[in-house]
Amino acid sequence: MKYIRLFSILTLTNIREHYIKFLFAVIGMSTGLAIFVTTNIYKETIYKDVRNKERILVQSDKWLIRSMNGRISKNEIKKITGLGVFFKIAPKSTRVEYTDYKGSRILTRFAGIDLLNTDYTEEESSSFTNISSNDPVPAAASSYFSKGDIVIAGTGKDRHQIGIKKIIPGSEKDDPLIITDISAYQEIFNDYGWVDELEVEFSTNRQNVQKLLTGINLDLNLISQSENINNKQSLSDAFLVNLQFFSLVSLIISFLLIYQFYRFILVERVKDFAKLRAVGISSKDIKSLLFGEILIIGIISSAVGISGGTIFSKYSLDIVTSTINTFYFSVSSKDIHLGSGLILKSFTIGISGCFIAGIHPVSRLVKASRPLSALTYRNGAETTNSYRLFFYSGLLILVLLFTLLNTLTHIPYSIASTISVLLLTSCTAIMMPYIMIRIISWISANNRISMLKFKMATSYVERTLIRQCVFILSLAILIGFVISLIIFISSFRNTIQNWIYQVTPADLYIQSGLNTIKTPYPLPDGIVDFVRSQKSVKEMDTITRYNYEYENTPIQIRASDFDILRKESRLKFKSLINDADTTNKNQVLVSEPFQSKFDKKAGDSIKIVGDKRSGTFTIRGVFYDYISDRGAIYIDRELGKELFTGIGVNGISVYGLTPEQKIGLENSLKQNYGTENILIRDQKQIRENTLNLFDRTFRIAWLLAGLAALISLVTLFNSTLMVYLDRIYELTQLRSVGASYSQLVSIVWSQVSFMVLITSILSILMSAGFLNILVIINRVFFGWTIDILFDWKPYVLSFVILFLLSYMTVKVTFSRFTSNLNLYNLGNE
Amino acid sequence: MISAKKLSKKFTIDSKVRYVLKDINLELDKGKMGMILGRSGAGKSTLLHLVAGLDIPDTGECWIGDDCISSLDEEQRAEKRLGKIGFVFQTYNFLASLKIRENILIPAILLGKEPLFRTNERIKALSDILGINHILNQMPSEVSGGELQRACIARAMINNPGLIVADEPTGNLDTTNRGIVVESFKKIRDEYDVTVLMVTHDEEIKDHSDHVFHLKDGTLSVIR
Repeated sequence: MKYIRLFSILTLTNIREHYIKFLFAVIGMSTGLAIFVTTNIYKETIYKDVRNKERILVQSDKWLIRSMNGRISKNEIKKITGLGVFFKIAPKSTRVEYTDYKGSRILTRFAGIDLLNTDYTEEESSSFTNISSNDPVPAAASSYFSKGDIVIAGTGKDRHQIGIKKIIPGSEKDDPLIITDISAYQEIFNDYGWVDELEVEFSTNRQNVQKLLTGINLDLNLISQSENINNKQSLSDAFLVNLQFFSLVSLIISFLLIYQFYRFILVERVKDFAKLRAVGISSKDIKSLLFGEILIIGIISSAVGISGGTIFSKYSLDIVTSTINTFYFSVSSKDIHLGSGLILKSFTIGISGCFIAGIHPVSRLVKASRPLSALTYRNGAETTNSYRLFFYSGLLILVLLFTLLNTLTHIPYSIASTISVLLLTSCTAIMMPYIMIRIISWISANNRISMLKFKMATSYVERTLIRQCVFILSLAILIGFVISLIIFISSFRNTIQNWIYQVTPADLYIQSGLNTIKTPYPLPDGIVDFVRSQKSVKEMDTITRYNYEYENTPIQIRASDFDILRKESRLKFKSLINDADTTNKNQVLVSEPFQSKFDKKAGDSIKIVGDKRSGTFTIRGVFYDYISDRGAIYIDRELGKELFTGIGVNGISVYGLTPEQKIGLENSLKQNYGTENILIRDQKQIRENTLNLFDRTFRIAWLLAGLAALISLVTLFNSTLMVYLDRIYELTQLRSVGASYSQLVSIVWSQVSFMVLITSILSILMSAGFLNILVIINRVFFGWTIDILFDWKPYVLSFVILFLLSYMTVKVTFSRFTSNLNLYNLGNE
Repeated sequence: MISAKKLSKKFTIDSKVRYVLKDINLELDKGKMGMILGRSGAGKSTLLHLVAGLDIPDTGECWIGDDCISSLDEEQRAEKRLGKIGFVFQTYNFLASLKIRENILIPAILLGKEPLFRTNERIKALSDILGINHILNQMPSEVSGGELQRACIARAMINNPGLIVADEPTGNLDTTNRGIVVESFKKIRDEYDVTVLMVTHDEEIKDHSDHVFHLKDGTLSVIR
């Protein structure tokens, strides 16, 4: 009862009076939580759940038809059926929805499949006969439910009762999964126009099927089950790590922001609590009250963060959908759901984070609010101890030298050098703001009158040392992260660009119209001789691709003429044995991803088992390959013929054509072979397509950079407002003696600009640390080398924006809060 | 120097209107010291704030020399406070992180009209008159109330204003320091021919001023 009264008198009154400050505390915490929730929704819903979907009745000999836009329309299904090549077409849709089950709302996965046409045993399938709209909706479920259970599901106003008729295996135990017939699914969810995918079986070859599907809609793809699952597994792991790294960074920033606010909010209330202590409140009561406030902030922040993250993840999905759907799997915003586990996790992190951030400020306040000391409490400046300053500076220099030496003695971007750079970055990040602020206060302790303006601007910096350090550190981390992402993406693009420019020396490239990165298709018969016979063709090469498994991992073997390969410098080498016999066609070349995956290098031997013969071959060199992260082995064409049964040629490269000859050859090919069977691209088109593909793939990275920039703005605004509120009494005093508005602005702006200057310097170091991490993460998962090019432009641009924005923030803060400079408050410090 | 006509001011607190000042007329010539007496809560500080340009009246006019300060906007009034009016606060209002000398210098720095060496000379002169030379390099928290109040007077005088307004300058001081501070005002008035307007509830110091006014129930009466 006592606490409730104290709470309502003190805490609620305080929150009401200082609601702006509490609002910013909530914003600080909820921003980081929103990012955390967004990345985890992506992680749990898209990557994990969609992978789980594959376990719903996967039959490995079936093929899937999927659309790159996420869904297959009724019209398209009609046309696909009309093709006449499929002897089985089974539509399938899946979703996750809340259902009512035994008085509770539970998140249930639904799979609508063609129960009548799916291969169950006779016994199982007999349950699904005589389905009509009058019957209770037939359902079969995993072992979460029991036979005879009733589940209520549906969207909008129409809710349907689903009776569990049969339990069949389809998912993990204790996983709420209901499988219904596709027509029932559509009826329950009022979803008649579309399905997610079609399971098909066909009688002709894959090439023909794909060609027919492409004729209906370019977005339709034929995928094998095993390709699908392996693909998702590896790529989703890579993205998971990147997403988790980003969400960790955003949470750290939130904790720093909340700590900063607590220091500010609580320290300025020292005298209030001292007066309470003087009339008898105990320190235990004070702590209870304060942690009560912190709990309120934690709960509100968590709720706002979770809501914001959920909404943002649904709307931001459009930005990444094309990337995900192109490469990985079909996904749409209906797949987004907020699991109870994530809600619980977010609340736990939000509330516990607030508590942890509040421990130090609360204990400081309790200590400082002893009545006697507080009645004479003055926010006096600490005097700078020169000896301590020199000691810390010396220590910093030693740490910097040590880690710099350590970094330089290791291979750049190796694990060892990355750890060293991270250590360097962390130590400097912690010590640098402190040292620089101490230097500023040491300078301003100077008695010279000419330094008075500098002193007025910076006097508060040392008085709020920890807060300023937190301000600098959190902003430097964010700016460093944004810059590192920009440099990383630009460098990667540059690497790809340099690579594609080197490895595409031919004037014209001809390949099958059905060719994909994963699935090579042969060109029509006779086309090689046709091209060779053209007068304009002086030099040409062919490439044959074989899908192969090396140590149970799918890779690709590419066979081409090694002499032409060497002559045209068609590969960019990472390493090459120079003294090797260049005429030896029994040597092989491997790609960089192959080298990373299988830990092979130039000079090592590998065994290739072909359907005609096997052999052990020496790796002559390692080449860069950004076509895919699958490993690849390059062998001479003659060796390929010895090892494998001929499957035709997948691509032709033609060299030395003039522009007119190029057009002429292109026209001849189109006339003779049509535009459906072959794809003709010139050098420029190949290069442009490659870079376009890259840009699409990295849209998600730009999204992350944008989010980090947004958090930086929030941090900058929060911290600038706090600088203003910190000094409000002092500013009022200056106003009372006649300081003009612009003079007050310049005092606050001077302090902010010092902090921004230190932030800018520190962010350079942070960006180096983050770049190391990004390079290492991507090397581990994709096996690619990225040449990092440090560009000064992102640094200059971000620093200019930072300074401009901080100035504008100071101006906006003054114009918005100028009424707080209430001269009647003078005397009520 | 000061000419206030029909000044009125009201405050609304929790939807209740309180008329603090009602048609106040005040005249004080240049180089004179005036004192406004009244109980706590009579509205003395409010009147002083209107005169010093810290607030504007609801009705009436207040002239400081040739300037109608009540008709100026906030920036213009701040400018007047900087150059023409010096304010001495009851609670000193020194910046805690700056030394006494630096606090005194702040208005001069803000005005920025003359070289610093001239300002330094003036500080020396004021310090000699006010007897605060020994505290110039100390922090506000290290000096006594009386010394701090004299330093406040020095700060108010640093830009050579024509008018000094003081809000209960002796309110927090003991008898000895009270006397010293009042004497300081007199010295400043005599040395620099500056007009001084002071508010106080302390009847004992009224004999030191040229004119005495009494504020009661929102109206001002002239005693001397």
